[in-house]
Amino acid sequence: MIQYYTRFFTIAFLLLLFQVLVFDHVDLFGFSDPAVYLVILITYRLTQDQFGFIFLGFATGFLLDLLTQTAGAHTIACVSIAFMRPLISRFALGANYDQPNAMFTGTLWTNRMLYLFLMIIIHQFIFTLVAYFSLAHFGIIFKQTLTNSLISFILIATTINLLQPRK
Amino acid sequence: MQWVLNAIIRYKNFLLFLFLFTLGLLFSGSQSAYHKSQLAKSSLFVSGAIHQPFDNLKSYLDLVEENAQLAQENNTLKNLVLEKFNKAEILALEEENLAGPNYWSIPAKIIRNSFTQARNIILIDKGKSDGITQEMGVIGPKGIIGIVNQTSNGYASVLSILNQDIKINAKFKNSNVFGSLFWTGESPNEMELADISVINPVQVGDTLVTGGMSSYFPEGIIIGKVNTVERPNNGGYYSITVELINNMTDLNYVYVIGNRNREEIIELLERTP
Repeated sequence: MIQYYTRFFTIAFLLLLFQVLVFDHVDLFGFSDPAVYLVILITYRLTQDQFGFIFLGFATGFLLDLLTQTAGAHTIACVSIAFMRPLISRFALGANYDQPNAMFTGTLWTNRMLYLFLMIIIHQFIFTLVAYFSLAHFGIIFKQTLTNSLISFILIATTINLLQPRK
Repeated sequence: MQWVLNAIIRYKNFLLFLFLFTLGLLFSGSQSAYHKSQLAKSSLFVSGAIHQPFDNLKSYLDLVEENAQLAQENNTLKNLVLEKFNKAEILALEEENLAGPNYWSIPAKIIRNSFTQARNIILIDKGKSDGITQEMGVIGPKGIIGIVNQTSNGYASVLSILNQDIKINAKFKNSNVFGSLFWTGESPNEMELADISVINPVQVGDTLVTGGMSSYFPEGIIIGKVNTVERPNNGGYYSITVELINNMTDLNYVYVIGNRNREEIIELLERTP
């Protein structure tokens, strides 16, 4: 278990660093930045300890808000997605949703992709909504959510594939 | 009492979520509170310290391009001086500057620039110890950039003009008609100009400059050119989009503008009912 947490937090630290220094500067189409740091919240063990996981979500979001000078959007989006994760995993991952490593083994490929997609799009929607904080900008919110989700999906799926434990 | 404890234990996840969510909202919404200011200062310090080494490396790699750009800028300024003034006039201008102009500038380097959010922030490598204070104006080589928001000793955060909370006082160069310039969040090179009455003639291509009505910027700093003008069927104001002269997505160096009369102006405004 200690080995798992050491590996997890090292990867989490590197992902946050990459997010702040690289992915936040991608600016695809002039407005789109992928949220690759979501790998942290997507791959964390699907255990019963949701209390600790909500804290992890808060810490991740708050740290990013401080480092990227965004006022609370990351925090709110990460806490929300951490709270909703059991619902999303139960809905998307099928019968084995409660396996700790369901994102890597024991579940169908299609179920994992659905789980990934839902986690990303819900997070991005909340993030953009809080960032703009105005329904008058719904068009932009919708456009940014879709574009960011799509790019994040591709990059996160690739990252998760690289992190997959080799047999 | 027991059932309260039971309920708390049973719904602990939801309660924790509500608590942290509210904390996030407070962090997001407290626009002028003391705590937000303190948090912003701390985050500015951390953020600045993290971005500085990577930006130093990037600056080093960009030196050739940067030198070429500065040389070109220098050349343009020299040509302007040679075109506009004869020697006697240049000497008179230098004397006037020594006597103390109303504005002074502090050069700074951008270490982080965002333009994809609704409220974009720029970090610069000069802070309180370099004489930078809150609400100083910031301009780039070609036009206005933003307004200083927070300062730590070595860094300052600047509210970019690509920030939906900012309104800039602007006027037409050729007619002195004033309006408010703001960003709608759509494109990083386009802003909207409001409060221009239809009784004033406006053409596509008209140049827009700072109005000088605020203490942030001197009058006459170029902002952009009118891109589209729509005259509404009802209502007395144009709908105008302005294309910015500065490329806000490609900035390296800026000048922070100080106004020697700022405190006097603010004090006078506060005393005026």
